[in-house]
Amino acid sequence: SPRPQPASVYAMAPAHELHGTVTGAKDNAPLPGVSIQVQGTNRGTVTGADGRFTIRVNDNDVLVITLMGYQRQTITVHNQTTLQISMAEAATGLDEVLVVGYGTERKKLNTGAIDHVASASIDQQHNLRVDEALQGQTPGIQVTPTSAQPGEPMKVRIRGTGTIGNANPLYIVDGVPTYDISYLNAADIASMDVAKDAASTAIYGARAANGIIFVTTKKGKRGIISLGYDGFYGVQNPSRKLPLLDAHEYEVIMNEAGINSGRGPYFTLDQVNSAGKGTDWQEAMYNKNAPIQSHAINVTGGNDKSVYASSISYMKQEGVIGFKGQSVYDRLNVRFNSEHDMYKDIVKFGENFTYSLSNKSGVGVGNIYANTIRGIVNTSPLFPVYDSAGNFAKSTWNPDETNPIALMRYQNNNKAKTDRLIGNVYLQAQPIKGLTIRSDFGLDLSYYNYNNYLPTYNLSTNVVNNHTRATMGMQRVATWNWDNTVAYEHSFGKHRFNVLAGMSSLQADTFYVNGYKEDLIIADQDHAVINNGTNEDTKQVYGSHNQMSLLSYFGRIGYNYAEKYLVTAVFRADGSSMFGPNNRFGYFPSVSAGWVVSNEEFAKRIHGLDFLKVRAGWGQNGNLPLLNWAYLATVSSNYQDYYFGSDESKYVGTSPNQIPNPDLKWETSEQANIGIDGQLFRAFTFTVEFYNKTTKDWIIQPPVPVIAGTSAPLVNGGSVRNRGVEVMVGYENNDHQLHWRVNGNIGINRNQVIDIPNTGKVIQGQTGTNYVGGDEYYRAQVGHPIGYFYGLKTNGIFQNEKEVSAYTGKNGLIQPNALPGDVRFVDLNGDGIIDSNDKTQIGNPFPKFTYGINAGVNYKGVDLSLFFYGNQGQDVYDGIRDYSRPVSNYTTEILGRWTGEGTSNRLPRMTLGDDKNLNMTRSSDLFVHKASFLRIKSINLGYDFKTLFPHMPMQQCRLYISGLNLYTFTQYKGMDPEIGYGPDSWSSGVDLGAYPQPKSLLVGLNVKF
Amino acid sequence: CSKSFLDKGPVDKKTIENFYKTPADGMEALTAAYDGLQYGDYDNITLVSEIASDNCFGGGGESDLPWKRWDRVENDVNLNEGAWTRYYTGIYRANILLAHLNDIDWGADSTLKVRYRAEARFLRAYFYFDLVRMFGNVPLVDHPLAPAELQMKQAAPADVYKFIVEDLEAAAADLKPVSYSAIPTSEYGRVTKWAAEALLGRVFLFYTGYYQQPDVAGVLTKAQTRTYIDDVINQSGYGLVDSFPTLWQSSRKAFVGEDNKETVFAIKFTYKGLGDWNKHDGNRMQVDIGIRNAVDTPYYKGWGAGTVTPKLWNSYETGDTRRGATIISINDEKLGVPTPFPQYTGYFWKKYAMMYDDRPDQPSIGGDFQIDNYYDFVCIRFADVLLMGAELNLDGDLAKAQGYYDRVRDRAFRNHSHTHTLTNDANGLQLIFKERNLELALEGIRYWDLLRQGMTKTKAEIDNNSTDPQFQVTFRPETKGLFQIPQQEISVSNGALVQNPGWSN
Repeated sequence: SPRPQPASVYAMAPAHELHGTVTGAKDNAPLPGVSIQVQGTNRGTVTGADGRFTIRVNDNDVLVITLMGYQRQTITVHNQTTLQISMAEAATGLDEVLVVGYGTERKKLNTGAIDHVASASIDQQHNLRVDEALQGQTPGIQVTPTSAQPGEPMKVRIRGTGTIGNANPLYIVDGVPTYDISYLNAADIASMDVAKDAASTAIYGARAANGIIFVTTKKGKRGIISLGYDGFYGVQNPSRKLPLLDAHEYEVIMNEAGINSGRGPYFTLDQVNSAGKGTDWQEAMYNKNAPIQSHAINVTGGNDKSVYASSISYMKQEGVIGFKGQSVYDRLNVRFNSEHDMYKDIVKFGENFTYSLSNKSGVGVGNIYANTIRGIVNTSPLFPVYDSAGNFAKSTWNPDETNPIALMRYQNNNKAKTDRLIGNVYLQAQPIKGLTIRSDFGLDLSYYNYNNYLPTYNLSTNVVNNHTRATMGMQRVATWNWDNTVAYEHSFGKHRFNVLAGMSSLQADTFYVNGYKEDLIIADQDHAVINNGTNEDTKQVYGSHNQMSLLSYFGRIGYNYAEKYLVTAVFRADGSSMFGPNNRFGYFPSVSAGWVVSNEEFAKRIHGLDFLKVRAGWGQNGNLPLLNWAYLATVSSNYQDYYFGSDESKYVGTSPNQIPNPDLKWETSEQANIGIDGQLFRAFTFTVEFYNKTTKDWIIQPPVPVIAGTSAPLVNGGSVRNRGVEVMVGYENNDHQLHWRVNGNIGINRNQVIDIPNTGKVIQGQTGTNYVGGDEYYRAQVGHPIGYFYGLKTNGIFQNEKEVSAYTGKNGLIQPNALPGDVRFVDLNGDGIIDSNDKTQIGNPFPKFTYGINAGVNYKGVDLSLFFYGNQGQDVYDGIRDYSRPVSNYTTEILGRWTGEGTSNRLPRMTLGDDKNLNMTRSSDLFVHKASFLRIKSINLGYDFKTLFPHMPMQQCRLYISGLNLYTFTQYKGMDPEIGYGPDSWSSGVDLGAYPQPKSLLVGLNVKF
Repeated sequence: CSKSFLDKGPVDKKTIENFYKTPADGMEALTAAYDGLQYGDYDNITLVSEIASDNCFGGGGESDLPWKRWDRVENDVNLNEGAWTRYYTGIYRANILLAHLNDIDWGADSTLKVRYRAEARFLRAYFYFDLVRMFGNVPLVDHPLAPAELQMKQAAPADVYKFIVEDLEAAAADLKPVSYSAIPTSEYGRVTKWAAEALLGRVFLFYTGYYQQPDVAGVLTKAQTRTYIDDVINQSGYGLVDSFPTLWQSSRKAFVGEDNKETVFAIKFTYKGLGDWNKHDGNRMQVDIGIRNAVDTPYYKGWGAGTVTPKLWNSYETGDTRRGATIISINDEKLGVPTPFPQYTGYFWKKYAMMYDDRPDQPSIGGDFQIDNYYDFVCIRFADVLLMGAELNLDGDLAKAQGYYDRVRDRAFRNHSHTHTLTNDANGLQLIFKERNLELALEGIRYWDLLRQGMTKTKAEIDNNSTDPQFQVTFRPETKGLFQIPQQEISVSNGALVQNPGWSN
């Protein structure tokens, strides 16, 4: 429990001692742990358990009194020696301190669009990944799983997809830049600040175009030692199954297809009648009641010289798909932060370090190849999982068909282990009042190693492996950054200035080796190491090493007058080794301004208006893409060998592997933002933002005609505009007994491609990504959202010959090959034929808006919170069925197919896919489905037993139960409407059989001493 | 300081500036162009053209729609993207070497430079000839393209053929006349003067037949072509092996071996990729044409593509040794009948059939049966050269034509009693065409031989009005026999490329 602390040692021989007591305004109870700080210095103290403090002060010192959850106060000392301070609870987050990059700023005075997400909002989600916890918490950030397998990365987009290159935001964790925060434990996070507009992010210039998420980990406090435990345990289950055909239905459908395609039926009537239900492959793939658990122990504390925070945590999540223990992620975290006064509160030294060790293994996800779920939903139900001897059964009716559960077992024996050490050390000096000099060295070190075991198997005619194989891989990525800044702030009268200047250098070094060897002496996963391999002829080894560096200079100037008129300007210059000498440096300016209306005299008279600020900003940012020496004309010797002579001697072939572009330069994102922040009646808060963001000079590799002969060059060109509105509203009732709050947010974003640097103004999507031989179905094109769904429009089904012959254009029959039951495609350009010139936008992968609703109530130790998350208006391209295999299973939707006049006007007649009308061979709106959803993301019900037993030796002892992802309202019929996957990074919403999000039930405990 | 901090570069790659310096670099660049020959899988031009012809159906499994589409002349979207890509990749690799020949320090002796240039030009012509036969209307790329040049329109076919002839004539002129027996065994697989001359014959016959022209774009006359072919026949040292069946691996112990004296030019394949799908060092067509899903010893399994038509089987006379060496008959060889699959006819390819005892996935080899089949593909066989000679001399030196023709036919029957007498008229020509298919069936020759006889003849031979719908095939003369240009390329060209007639975009 808190103890009173002696006063600090002083920097400038202060004149006298000041004694004070701090109490809560509501109940006059003493408040412990309140920070009393002399403004502009590091001198300060905290109150003890009795709410008392002592500090030495000068007459002209200004004390800043802060406590989490209470309104900040400033008091000028003058000649007072005792103080009675009463603190009102903060009704809103206006006094929150925002991280703004190389510094902090109070939200009240901030001129940019930065959303603060407090740890409480993160904790209630019980996510094992911190990025996932941001979903729905603030508008303008869209977090979507590309696969919900434990440990898989999320797709995080701030204010839309701004580039076809790397569109991920930059994370700054306690000052260290990184693109991957999978190592973080949610329990270690104090807050996250999502910087969305250019003015807020410009200080990170070249890497800021996709927004920045500042993560602040928990720090110690002077005088308080606290020990806490947070943990939960739960079970997860699949939320939704695909309604696939059973054996009887499957045989009926396949027979019909066989007959319509001239092949004849596959099954006799007897077989059809006796087929029964057959195998439910989905049931066989589940790992039901998959456990999830997390445990974290935190210690924080400090004395007058040092503060520290340390924690150890462990979490583990099993996936709901896979054999037990096959799809699993676990992570151990150890964290240590501390800060020390080295010299009279003038020089401080500190560090933040986190070590994490994560293990991940899983089933196949991603594209159409080796995707476990896709295999399972496309297999006929006609043969069992296991034969009578208990071995994996083989298909008896189709030798091409592979037991998908056997595939799941044999092809997914992988283990990936990542050691990550990330952190920084800093030295900070404040030699004179207002001047801060800081040098900060950060390190992000990651060791990844990978181990895979491939057994021998013989599952079907072309799924045969004769050689056991052990694959091992190892990668070290070490990134260091060294930031040096000088900041000065000064006030005279009502004018307040702050200036920051700095330089930063960063270097990333990647080193990897991997390889494999076959024919293992001991053939199992535990012995799947290269040294157990015996086959010298097939062994493979790969490895390389590369470096990239970034050199930056930046500055920021802020000014405010009487906290009424606020102006900030930022400039940054970045040079990168990714670019050639022609365009190595990029320059990124921004400016923003705010007007705190509520500080004007006239506004102070408006009843109920606590706070109102109007702000606007403009700026340019860069985006640092992941390039591979695109400015150089490199030649490669990969896979170009030829064998001459009767003895087949190998000759190495070499040719250029890309067309270089020495003039390649930075992508630039330009954004204007207008925002209003307000608070009414001490309870109601709101923020409204309008923004217009255009990213131009994309670094893209538009497909070029293959007559180029080698890889297309990377070029600058193309732009996309994201513009939108974001609204956050909150209401908080702080009644003495009953505390309740509700807040909601909504983000509306419109994405449109403005330019693409080729004559067709289009970047084609890849073909063959929905199934082998599949048509192009998404693209980026001027005037459309990036990655929009592309295909033919359909207009029902030809019900009879008459309708086929009635469908004429200027050349007679528009679809001369059509038969009754075939799809009527729309001849959009009216040229009398159906071809790719009739393709158009048939769907939009982006929601019209995303929203989140948070509600909570506390009453006498009971707390209840609810969180809803929704997306409205987006489409999903349904690529689940493998149309390259006519015998792939269908969902029961196919039972509504056309079987004769009047039976269906949407689903065509069954064929083996060889119909001349290309019913399902061409991309069309038949594959596009609405996928709006509203999801009950979490419900938490807790009780703090401290309320019942006030004499317990702990500050808190809360037991809770939580339900996560309990229900999803949607009309989408797939396993999960939330589909982040797309074949290109700029595409999304393509469902090829995505690993679905589970629903979970948890029991947890928070204890704090 | 800032300059050196930001100056990084690849440690695992050269750049153009430090490549193309030594003759060894030149050989690497040339090898990359040769590598282009090995590509092609289910869409290999030999397999595709045989399926498109009257020799084969599509076959394969239920999922193998592409083979059925080629068989039935049906639209698709990107069916031929692979072919289009690999030919232009090969052309690029030849072009980039030719563009950098003068950057290489060849030393005092220019022999290597002349030879590499000739081989590169041959390869470029070889790729173009496949490309232009398939697609008819193709962009003519004669140098590495700058980004601004990539939206290139299609060239007139005559210009492409003219370019091919110029490359081949230059190659024939520059390559030394080394007779077969003098070629070092370590150089088997390399382009020879004889290969260039023989290919000129094939180009001449196809172009003048298909486009109904007396010569090739004013640069190659019939007289010149005769000279080239006669030169190969008389000077190259190549010849026929004694027994037709021994040309093929299916003859097992009797097999005369690869690079035999009948192999004027072959694509070298090897199993040495050993299961690495990134490498294209194996003959991937072989698994496609194998008996579907069945190990019917002595044959190894495959996917059953290009099931052979009974028409081809029946076109052989009794006593012709070529029938049993060209086609596997499930009945005649008393093999197990495989599980039924679409367009199963009971006949499979015997040329290039992988034999069980040679299978690449046997322990002593350790390859993958799908990609490591390794029989070299003979692109130009001496028998073809003889039959070209017969055809070219039909209206000139009939006796010579008869002589060439007899060499082929007599070998097939092992005697002279089955000969036919050639005449300088359509009948004589038909005898040669017929003999060409009997001799060269399933070697990727037939479809082009049909096309050069005109659309009427092509349709008459290809159309199949079987009562069983799976065998029905209707050739579409409006396509002129050309293949569908991949939709992807038409899109990317932004209007520079125009789809071939009869095909939809």
